[in-house]
Amino acid sequence: MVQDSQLRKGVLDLAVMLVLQHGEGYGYELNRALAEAGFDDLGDATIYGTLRRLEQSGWLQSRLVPSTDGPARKYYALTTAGRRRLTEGMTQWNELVSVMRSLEGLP
Amino acid sequence: MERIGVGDALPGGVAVNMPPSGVSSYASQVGARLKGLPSDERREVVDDVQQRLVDMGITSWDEAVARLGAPVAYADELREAAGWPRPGIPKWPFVVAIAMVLGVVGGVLVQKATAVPKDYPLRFVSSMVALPASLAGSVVVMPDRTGEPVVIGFELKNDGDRTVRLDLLQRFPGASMQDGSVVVGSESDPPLWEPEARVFRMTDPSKLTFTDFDDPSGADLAGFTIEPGETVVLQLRGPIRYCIDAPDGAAVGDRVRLNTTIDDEQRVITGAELTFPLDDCS
Repeated sequence: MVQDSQLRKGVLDLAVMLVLQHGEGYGYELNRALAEAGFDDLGDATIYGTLRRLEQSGWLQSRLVPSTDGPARKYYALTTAGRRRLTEGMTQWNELVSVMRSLEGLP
Repeated sequence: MERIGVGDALPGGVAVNMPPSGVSSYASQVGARLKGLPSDERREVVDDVQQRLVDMGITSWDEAVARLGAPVAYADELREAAGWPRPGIPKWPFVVAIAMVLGVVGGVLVQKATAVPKDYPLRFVSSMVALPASLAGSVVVMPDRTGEPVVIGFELKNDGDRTVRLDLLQRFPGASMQDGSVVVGSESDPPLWEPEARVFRMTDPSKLTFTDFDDPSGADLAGFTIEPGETVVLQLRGPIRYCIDAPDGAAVGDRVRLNTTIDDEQRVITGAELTFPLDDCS
């Protein structure tokens, strides 16, 4: 769905945080949620790297949860700063969409 | 965050299953590619990648490569997405590195042209600092035991006391730093050669002299002295075949010539020719 890699890269941080806004999730869950939403050819390394970067930025936090079918799973959740960042980012995104729509409607 | 690795007992006494060996190998290879990251962080990445592969239902090396690409590609993509800087030695062409060496020489000669004895050390240091950062990146390609070229980086440093230090940087597979030297190989897999750091002491502030730097293999590297206006010939010799990145079209036995543009007004150096024996690296 979202084919332009540069465009996709620009919104990936927001997309990941949107997936996590309603609760924590682990890597593969995030992969599937993003794929179902239309980010269907994102590499696992790209998503994992994004999670690491957002965590290092203080916008996500993680915890390990025991799993009986393999290594402990790392669950990610938004921090308070992350929620603030998501709100700001979505405001900017909506403004951008509004500007693009108005440009699109120009004769 | 408390780290829990594979094989550790989790809180509550739940055992962590070991992932399939192919999965562990894949994750380890990803970690190995991430040189430059702190070791704790690399270990965490290896654990995370293992966990992600298991969650995806991947059970073998082949399956991991088929779905995620080679570990090297995964690690590079991860590094970019995470915003981690790329480490390592820039693989600049050898002639560029030599040009930088000449920059050092030029700096020394500038010192000679302008030096005031009282403040010589300070001026020397300042000129060296002003040179392109630490000169990491000169490249010598040497064949390893399989005949494959191996890149060894050289780094020229000034320790602030008329000493130019030439260190071999780690690029050899399995190389490690021990007591300031680069050690290659192990008891079961002895190295082809054992590079070590060498120190060249400047005996005369008016010129830069490289002498008596023996290779542990027994080969000699010819010393050289550079004086203002002198044509410089640097020759590497010995049983070890030194192979360098040659210009396009160069053949075995050719000599690589490097002409530098020197500002004669500054009386730095009027020209230089660096000559290396080219050998067949195959």
